[in-house]
Amino acid sequence: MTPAPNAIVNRQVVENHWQHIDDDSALPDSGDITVSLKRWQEAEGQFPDHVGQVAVRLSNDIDVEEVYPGIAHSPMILLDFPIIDTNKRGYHPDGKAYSQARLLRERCGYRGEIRAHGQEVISDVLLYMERCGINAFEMREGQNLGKAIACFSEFSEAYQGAASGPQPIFLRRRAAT
Amino acid sequence: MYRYDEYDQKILSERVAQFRGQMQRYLAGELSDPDFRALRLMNGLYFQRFAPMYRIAIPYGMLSSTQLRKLAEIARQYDRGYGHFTTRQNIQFNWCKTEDIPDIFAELASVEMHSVQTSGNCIRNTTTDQLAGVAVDELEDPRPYCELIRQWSSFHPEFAYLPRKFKIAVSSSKQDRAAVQMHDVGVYMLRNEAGEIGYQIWVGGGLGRTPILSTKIREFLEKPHLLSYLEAIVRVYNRHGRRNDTNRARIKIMVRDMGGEAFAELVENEWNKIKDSYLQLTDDDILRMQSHFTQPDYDADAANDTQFEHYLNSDKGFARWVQHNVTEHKQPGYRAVYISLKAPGIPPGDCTHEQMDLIADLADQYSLGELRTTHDQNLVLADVRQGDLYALWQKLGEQELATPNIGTLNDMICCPGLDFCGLANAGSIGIAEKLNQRFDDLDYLYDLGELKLKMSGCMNGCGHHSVGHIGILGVEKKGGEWYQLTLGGDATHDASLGDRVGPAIEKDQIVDAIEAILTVYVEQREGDERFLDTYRRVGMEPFKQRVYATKEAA
Repeated sequence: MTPAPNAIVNRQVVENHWQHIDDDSALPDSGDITVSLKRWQEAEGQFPDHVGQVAVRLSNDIDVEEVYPGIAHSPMILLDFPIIDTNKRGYHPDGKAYSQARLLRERCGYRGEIRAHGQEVISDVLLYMERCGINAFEMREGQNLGKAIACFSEFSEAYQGAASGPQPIFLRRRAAT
Repeated sequence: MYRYDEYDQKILSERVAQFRGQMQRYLAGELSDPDFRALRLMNGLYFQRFAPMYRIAIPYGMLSSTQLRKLAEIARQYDRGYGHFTTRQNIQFNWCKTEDIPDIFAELASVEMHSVQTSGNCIRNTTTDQLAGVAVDELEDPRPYCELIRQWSSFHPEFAYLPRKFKIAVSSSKQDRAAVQMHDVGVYMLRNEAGEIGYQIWVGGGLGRTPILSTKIREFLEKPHLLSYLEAIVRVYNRHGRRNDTNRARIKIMVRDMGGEAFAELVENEWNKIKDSYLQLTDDDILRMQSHFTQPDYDADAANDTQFEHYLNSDKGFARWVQHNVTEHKQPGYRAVYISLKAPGIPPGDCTHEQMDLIADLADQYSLGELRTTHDQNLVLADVRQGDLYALWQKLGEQELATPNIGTLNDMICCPGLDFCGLANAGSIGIAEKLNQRFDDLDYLYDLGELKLKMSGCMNGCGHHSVGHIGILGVEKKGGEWYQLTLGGDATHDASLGDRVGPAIEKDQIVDAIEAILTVYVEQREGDERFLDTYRRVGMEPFKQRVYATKEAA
């Protein structure tokens, strides 16, 4: 997988230093890399010979609560937001990883970076992703990153509580009475 | 009814600005067709056969007169002077210009309305009983709970890209007037043995190409847990629902395939982890919401009126209208009035801007400034004094809004069909008109009694054909428009899906086939038996024989 040259982390555009290594490729000796859950589990999450950070990459059908004890020490968790082909439309943003993100943050208590990766990562979904607890974004190619940053400020209010975001409206109404 | 506070208004104006920006980027070529598609659908904008279709939410069917006047203004200024009320209590405009949509959206926001989540793979408008708050058979007003659900589901960050659309309905009365079992989640409010009011939860109903009635997954849920339970259901669906085949992506397929018990277990496991979270409703949360739906200041003298009785006895036309279009009310001296949008020759559910303005005025004058939409595509003035009914009837009649046909064959529900919709295989409005012409004798219609005829122009089933006592489904066959008939569907507590009569029927024979079915009913019925009950008693055979006998003879 070719990494995007830039990413957004904590609402800042930064150079992307992560490389995502396919299961078929040998691990490089150094650099910040992600590996599949399978590879991570085979190594029991230990990569003592690697110079640089190694983080785990989850496909969106993984039960994060089940695997969490084995990945809790990963410095970053990469989630997948693909656009899948359906029989009818050929274009269907797959939102399973929104739930994974919330469970990682709110239920498992993961405090490290949660990073979104995939075709679905465009400006218009950043705010929802952030509210689900994702704080880093590898944007789909061709997105205007400057404009993308502005999208985080599109909403100042939220009806629901989630992993982050403003205090939900109903809690403030509750407090006001 | 619910009024926005500063938070609701703020979040909506931010949404309008967001969508305006997305539209600008789309028109400037900075947002691709498929990317924009997902975004515009979540704002109610479809690109259709001839022009875009813009669907506006009417939360659980409640409208103020101010809002209806705004819809009339939009119809005049941006459309061809009319709108179409849908089977999900919403309204659609069929002739707007794409580039005008952000302006229309802003107009809507100025009267606390919007088009958010009226399409797309997200949680849609919650629907309920059109007689909520006034029904005699009601346990508790369901609207505060609908509004709680509306707010919880609006802009929900986790559930914007579900496998498929997701619809919730709530009913709190003895008779289910909200077609609860046809929804992804159905909530029946009821009392448990201890006398507490709570919710019974049903999951996995839906119409469309695979119509399925929902399955009960929880007998009784205590009041504070409404939102946490819904969140658990939708999360289970988001994580485990199928996405690779649009036709199998609704929650109904998941529930059917894994079974209600297994599905319920997943939900309960998830729910147990979140039921004590901030999602738990406090008594104050519920009271605060109920304070938006307090009982109006009813006229205590309303029942002392004698004019109503006088006109009932002296004006047959009025008496007929009262018998069919007026229903009882929990407050003595008051009635709820159905405004029929099924006048002959008009596509079911269509309403002109002049009619909307008139209805808004009548709502102000006679019904506390509010009205409701129904899933049968009619409107309701819910709080009319009996002494005002005669004047109201006369004024409705001036704009063809007093057709006394509620609940009859001609009160059919019908999707826009091939005339407008990009998905349709066959016309539906034209068939509705032909049926209206053939069955124009009101006495015959009254004699037939309660008869729900429902028609869809394609398998997606927007016209709810699967739950019509008589269902008509448009199909494409040999390059032409053909129609599949079903009998015995029902959308109430006693819900059932219709049975197919036989092979599809050609367009020019469909009205004859309906007539054959009605004739068999009239011959076979016992006493005052409804069509549905006769069908359930005698079965398909006599109907089938007659329908195809007619065809062969022709």
